[in-house]
Amino acid sequence: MNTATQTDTVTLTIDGKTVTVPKGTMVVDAAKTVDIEIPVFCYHEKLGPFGCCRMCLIEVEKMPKMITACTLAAGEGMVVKTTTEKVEKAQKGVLEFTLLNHPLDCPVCDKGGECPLQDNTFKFGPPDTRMEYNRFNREKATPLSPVITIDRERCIACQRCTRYSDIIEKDQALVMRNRGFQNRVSTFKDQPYDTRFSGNVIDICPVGALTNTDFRFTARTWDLTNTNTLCGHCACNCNMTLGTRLNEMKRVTTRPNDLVDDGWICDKARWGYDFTKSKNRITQPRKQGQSVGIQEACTEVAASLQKIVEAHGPSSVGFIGSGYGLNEDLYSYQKLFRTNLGTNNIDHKTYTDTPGLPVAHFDLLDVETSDLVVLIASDPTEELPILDLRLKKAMTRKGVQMIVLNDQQTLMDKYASLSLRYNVGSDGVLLAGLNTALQGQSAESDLESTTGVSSNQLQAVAEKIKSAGKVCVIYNPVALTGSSIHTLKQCLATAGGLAETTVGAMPAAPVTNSVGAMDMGVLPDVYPGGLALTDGDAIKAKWGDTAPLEKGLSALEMIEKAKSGELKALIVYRSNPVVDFPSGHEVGEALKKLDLLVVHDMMETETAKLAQIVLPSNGPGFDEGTTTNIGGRVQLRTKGLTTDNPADWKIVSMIAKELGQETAPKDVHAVTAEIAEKVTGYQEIKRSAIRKQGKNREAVASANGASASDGTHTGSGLILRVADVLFSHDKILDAESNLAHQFQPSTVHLHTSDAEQFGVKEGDEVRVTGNGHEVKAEVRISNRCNPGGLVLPKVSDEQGVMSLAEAGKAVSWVTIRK
Amino acid sequence: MIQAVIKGAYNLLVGMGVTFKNMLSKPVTFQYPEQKRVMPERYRGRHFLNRDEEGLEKCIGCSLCSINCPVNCIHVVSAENDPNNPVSKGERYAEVYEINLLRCIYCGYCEEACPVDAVVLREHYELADYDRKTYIATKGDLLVYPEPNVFSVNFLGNTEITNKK
Repeated sequence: MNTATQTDTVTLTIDGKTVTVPKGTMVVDAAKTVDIEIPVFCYHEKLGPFGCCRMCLIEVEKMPKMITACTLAAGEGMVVKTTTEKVEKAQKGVLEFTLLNHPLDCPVCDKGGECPLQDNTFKFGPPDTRMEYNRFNREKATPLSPVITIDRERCIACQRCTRYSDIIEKDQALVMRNRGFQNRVSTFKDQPYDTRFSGNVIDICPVGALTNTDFRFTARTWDLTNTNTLCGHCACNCNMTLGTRLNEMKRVTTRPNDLVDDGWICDKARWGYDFTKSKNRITQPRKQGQSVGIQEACTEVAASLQKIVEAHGPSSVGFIGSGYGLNEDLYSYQKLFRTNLGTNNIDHKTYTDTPGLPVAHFDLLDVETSDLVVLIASDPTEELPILDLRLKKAMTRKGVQMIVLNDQQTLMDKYASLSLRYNVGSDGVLLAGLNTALQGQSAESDLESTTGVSSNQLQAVAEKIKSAGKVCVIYNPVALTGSSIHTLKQCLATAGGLAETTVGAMPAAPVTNSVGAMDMGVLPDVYPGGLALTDGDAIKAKWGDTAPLEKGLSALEMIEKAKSGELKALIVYRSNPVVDFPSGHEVGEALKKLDLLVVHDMMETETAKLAQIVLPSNGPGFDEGTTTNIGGRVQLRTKGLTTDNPADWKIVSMIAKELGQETAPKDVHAVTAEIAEKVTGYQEIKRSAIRKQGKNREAVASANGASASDGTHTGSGLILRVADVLFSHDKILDAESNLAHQFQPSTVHLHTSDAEQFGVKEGDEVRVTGNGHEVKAEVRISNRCNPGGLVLPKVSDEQGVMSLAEAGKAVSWVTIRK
Repeated sequence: MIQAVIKGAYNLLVGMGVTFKNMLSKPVTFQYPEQKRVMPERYRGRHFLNRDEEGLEKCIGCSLCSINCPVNCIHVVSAENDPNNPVSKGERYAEVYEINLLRCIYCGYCEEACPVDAVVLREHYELADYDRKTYIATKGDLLVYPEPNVFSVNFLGNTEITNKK
């Protein structure tokens, strides 16, 4: 132990204080640990040493000259001085040069108040300027992209932004052009800098050069009320700070949490919160189109539900939730349906998945510490952007290897040491093949013809998994077809049994709280915490004797039963089945047949238009509670904005009260406490424990279904693969969104051979038809997937791609018409 | 006894002397409100927002007055200037500028903080009114000439401003 300490850490003296830090720590960071401030501009802990601003000059004993603290790794026995006369003179000199041409427009500048240049000038700078001439004038506010404005006059050429673009984003989109006085941050040919993560440069800019166009001049930083909250878009649940003023969202900035987001957020988090002030929000409960009071609406819902249950039995009512709800809201809803209405007709998804994992649930940080990442059917760039950054970091800076198994080309392919593309819809066969390969057996002979991946390649994947010390499997259950998720879990179980390898997995479904929704038991066949229906005693002990034990209807079955008239009432919570469910166009017809349709949502959706009763849901920014991210980390989402409407769980508890529930939780923390008590895996989740960085929940019981091979699919045409798009034109990002410039046209991606077969060329306007529906799209011959499949990115709600998919079928066949 | 009377009369005359002297001097009081007091130039009375030579608002909406205000009586909401039709000279202007004159302690810190000499406290001291609402001075109340102001209280009319020089 002692020797390990000697080799891993170094001890040095800074201004007379002794500091012990890990080896490789820069002096500037070592000083921070003992509250000694060495001023910096260009240095950023995530970007590494650079040393171009010269602000952090320090004196080190036995070194002849001053040296930059940000490029100097702490050494054993080093004696550092940061406050000598020489250092102070150097700091003043450097600041004088930095401020030489810096405009004195602090009162107008958006950075004013939180500007490192301002702060450092106050603390370390010269009292006056000796500049007697006119300052060098450059372009003021110029758009760098539709959402970022650059003020080149204020730039001090620290190159944080260009290094961010190079090191973190791996795009090299931003560069320093020209030299000397003409030196400027720019993109190639001045194209707009519109990547998925561009907004982070605003946060890391140490001056007001890069500013948020939306926030520009709308409030001073000290006027904002900053709330530490979580992003409510993808399932990474990045930490962010919501800046509000006068109860209006003003801006979103990063709140570094190395365990989740590593200090970055994507552009959807930064500019995707316009919905908090959208006109399209549901702000009032409605009954048959008429505004009513919330109590009246809840009473009406409860009375109607009760009437229907009495007349047709508990199986005639159902609940379709979604992963957009908080744990507390989803928990309350499933409790309402199970204990107050006595039905298991509860679901939140249209794909197959089961809660729990047969192996360890890895957190996001494990991606970096693994030896091998296996990415299955997941496209983090579009689905979980911060996972994308984390993977890039692991691949390029942490020496982690990656294997990609996907049916479509993704931007992750170029970082993978092995990237295999299987045929669309053949994931079940592929994973079964991988399972046999992991077991050391030879694969079936028709593997290559079905999946497009040879057994040798799968053998190579299996070998890599076996030879790696720590393997992190990231899979997207939404993109897996049929019941292949069960095969995948068997694969994981097999891999988990390997003697030499530690295997963990991360279910990377893109919806905000998809893991939480599974854990909270918003499922027809599993109680919260992965409690299977077969475990009747445990269920009765926790949920009372009346808790239903027969399997309920899944979301798709509910729609089916609604169509046939067997299901009479449905509550839809934060979900839009008319657009997002397979055969969406038929879902609307089915919902119209219901006696009672209650939609509890944040935005006006196509489904809400059909509802008899509409309840308002508060949504991110307004709501408070916990979410569970893909790494199983439970974090606290707090509210930055207030509304008169009760919280979602409160509305549920009001309905439950009308249905005879005697006890009601006092506040949201009472619900969290109840979850801790009732849900396996959440025992340790307390508000105080998760407030800062969140806390990993314990493993929930793994309730795996039987592996059933869907076999080979037969049909005519091409197999549809719907791809998720980050900036999709939906209810959250509407036409007035700041990110409207990121919306893509409807495109269909074909393989060259298929394009020839259908006689279409690149750029042709075609109609993709299937399931009695058609979608207009422009042809891209991109070889994005293997022959026999086509990729259709879901770019907007209006596009209606989900109508092409057939409900209940593993794969959907489509054809192309000009 | 006589001595005491003389001394008393003397003291009376001395005492009354002050009275007689002041009877002949100019009175320090005056007929307010018919007559108004001329306040010192640096008197910190009611606030105004200045305009520049071109008639643009000087205020650039930086909120420094607001953050500097010890009683938090200034409310600023800024917005970006339209370059073709600017309200102020900078890139930003104050869309909303309100001072709660009842909460204000007339310390002049806002004037001190203002980087563009936009907000000033002037000699106007007659601030009495019957309605609390009129004490929220908005931009229309605060902006001085050359544009025609619509003041909710006629502050400029009821105070005589004279240069003392």
